[in-house]
Amino acid sequence: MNITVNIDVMMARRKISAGELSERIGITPANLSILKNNKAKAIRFSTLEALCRELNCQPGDLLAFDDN
Amino acid sequence: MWDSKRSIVLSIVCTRAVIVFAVAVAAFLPFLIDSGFFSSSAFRIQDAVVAKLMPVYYAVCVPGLAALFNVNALLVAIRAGKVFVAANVRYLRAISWCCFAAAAVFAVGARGSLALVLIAAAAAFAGLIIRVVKNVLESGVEMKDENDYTI
Repeated sequence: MNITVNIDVMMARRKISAGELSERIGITPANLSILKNNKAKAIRFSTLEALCRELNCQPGDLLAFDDN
Repeated sequence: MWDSKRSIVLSIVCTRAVIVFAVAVAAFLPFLIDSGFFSSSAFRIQDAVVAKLMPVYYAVCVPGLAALFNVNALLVAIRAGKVFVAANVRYLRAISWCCFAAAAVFAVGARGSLALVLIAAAAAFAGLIIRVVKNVLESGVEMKDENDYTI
């Protein structure tokens, strides 16, 4: 898939651990890991909204389109 | 009360019973023919006719038993709660091909026997239906996969 999820970059910038983030946005650490490793096939608006709220960023900061 | 779990267990028991029966018949068929079992019992079939059908039975045993073992594996997986998994699609595909193979064996071995031609047609039809079920399950597996990876 050409869409990549850059959560780990934002997590590093905000200095937040995976466990803490998953707890704050209400998803399991396993699901957060799926997102981080770009294994996810889709992301719900509710999850994206929670991620943007907790990481204080825009959806564009988390998602990137790579044509190659 | 009767429930789906008991239904699956019954299906597994029936499948295994058919496997044992098919193997037992394959093992003892020559002795049964020699002893005149078919002509003397309630079957009232000439032993010569059974002897003529014996090669067809042995040939159809190969795809038949393969299909039964796949049915058994499929039922065991369903009992374990693994329904929409890729392995089940493989089992159904194998069962479908086994049905087509059995149909081919019956068609070749029919040699003008209408009963065997009808059995061949029934086996081919069953293979076709199982193929449709396989395609439906394959779509289900894809949908479940997509659902599981939607975060």
